Amino acid sequence: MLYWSGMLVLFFFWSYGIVSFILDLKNKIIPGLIQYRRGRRREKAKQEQEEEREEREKQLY
Amino acid sequence: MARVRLEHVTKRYDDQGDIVTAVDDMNLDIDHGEFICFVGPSGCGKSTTMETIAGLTIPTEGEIYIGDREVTNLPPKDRGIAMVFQNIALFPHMDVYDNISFGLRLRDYPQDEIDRRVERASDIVQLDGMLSRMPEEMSGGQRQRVAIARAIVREPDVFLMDEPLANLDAKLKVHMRTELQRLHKELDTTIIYVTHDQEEAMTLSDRIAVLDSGQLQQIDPPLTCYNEPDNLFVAGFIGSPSMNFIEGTVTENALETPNFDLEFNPASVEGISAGDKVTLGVRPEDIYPGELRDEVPDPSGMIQAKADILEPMGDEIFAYLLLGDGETSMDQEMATNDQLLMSIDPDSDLEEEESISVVIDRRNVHLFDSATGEAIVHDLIPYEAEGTASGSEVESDD
Repeated sequence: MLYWSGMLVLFFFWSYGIVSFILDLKNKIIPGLIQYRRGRRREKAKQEQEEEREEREKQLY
Repeated sequence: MARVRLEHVTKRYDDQGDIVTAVDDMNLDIDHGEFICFVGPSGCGKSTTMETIAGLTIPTEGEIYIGDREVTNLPPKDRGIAMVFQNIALFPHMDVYDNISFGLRLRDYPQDEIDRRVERASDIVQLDGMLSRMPEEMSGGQRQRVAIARAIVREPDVFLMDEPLANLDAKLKVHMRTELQRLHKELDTTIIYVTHDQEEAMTLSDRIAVLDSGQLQQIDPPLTCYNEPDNLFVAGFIGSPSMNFIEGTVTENALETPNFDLEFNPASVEGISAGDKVTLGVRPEDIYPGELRDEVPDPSGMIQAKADILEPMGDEIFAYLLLGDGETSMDQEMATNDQLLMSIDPDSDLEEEESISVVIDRRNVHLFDSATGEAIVHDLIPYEAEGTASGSEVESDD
């Protein structure tokens, strides 16, 4: 009885950890990475736009 | 010859899925040597219009011509223009000479030509003896003069100026305004100037282009915009303090407003008839105290009011009057019908809460269509001269 109860508790936490990790991966880690990359891309595009604008403004000096 | 033409220029932006029209079907024809001011409230599209001329923004639709060339898609350097920016944008690590000559060095001009042009430009903007100074050692006005000199050395066909005086203090602004007028006389070049300050536009320009919501409202000489505004927006924007507007209804022989009637012959005014809703526009300087009635060219009858607030300005006093029973409505739209702003002599002994009778000079009364906002008439006298409404009086409701 003690053996089966111990196994159940251990198995519960083992499976809880795996499910929790998969959900974190799906809801937090992957969206976070996507958002980070999107932000970087947006930042880069904004910087390129500003540089292009600056370059055009310099043509008017 | 640097004539600038905009034909059906439209600029739309995609603002996170929403399409925003910054410039809407703009048509402009600016002659060589003209000083044109784009004026309007923030977000009216004046800077975007200038940026399309400069080549900093490509229009979504329409064409831009400078001289005989179509320049709509050309880069700024190939348009023959120079621009002075609001933020001045001098290079902090370069001295005045290097800042002024930057554009010429970029285009590989010979050194003696650069020297000649820098000398001439610094002479025009009165920067002699300051060519070796660094920007940080100069005042705001001097820095702005460097930016203008940098534009002059390019010898462009067209000067573009985007609120160049906006960051200067009031005294310096007035001084720089006269400098710009002198510069325009001396260079005889087309200047397009953006400002939100209507006083600046009135004093500087040959013609004012008044913009609102990306649309051109009126383009005319300053005094025409002031005396004969095309619509309610122009009438309210040009002139400081702003024109008084009072809603009214045309009857058989008068304009009936909530607090007084202004007699005239509607049949003599093209475009209106009895029953029409119109807006009466009258400038503060065209309202006179009742005792001066005999000196007013075509006075209305006495209008009873109560002085609410007095604002002494030194050379005049702005008096905010409450019409009718002396109470004003909390409703903004209704409140404008109850109030009248007039300009009175600084020696006047009028006090707040005091009752006053005033008359309006009917030669300077404007009527606008309340529905469309378009101007109907700017002067009731010509119709009276035809003998249709001679000697008409304003009857007060009080």
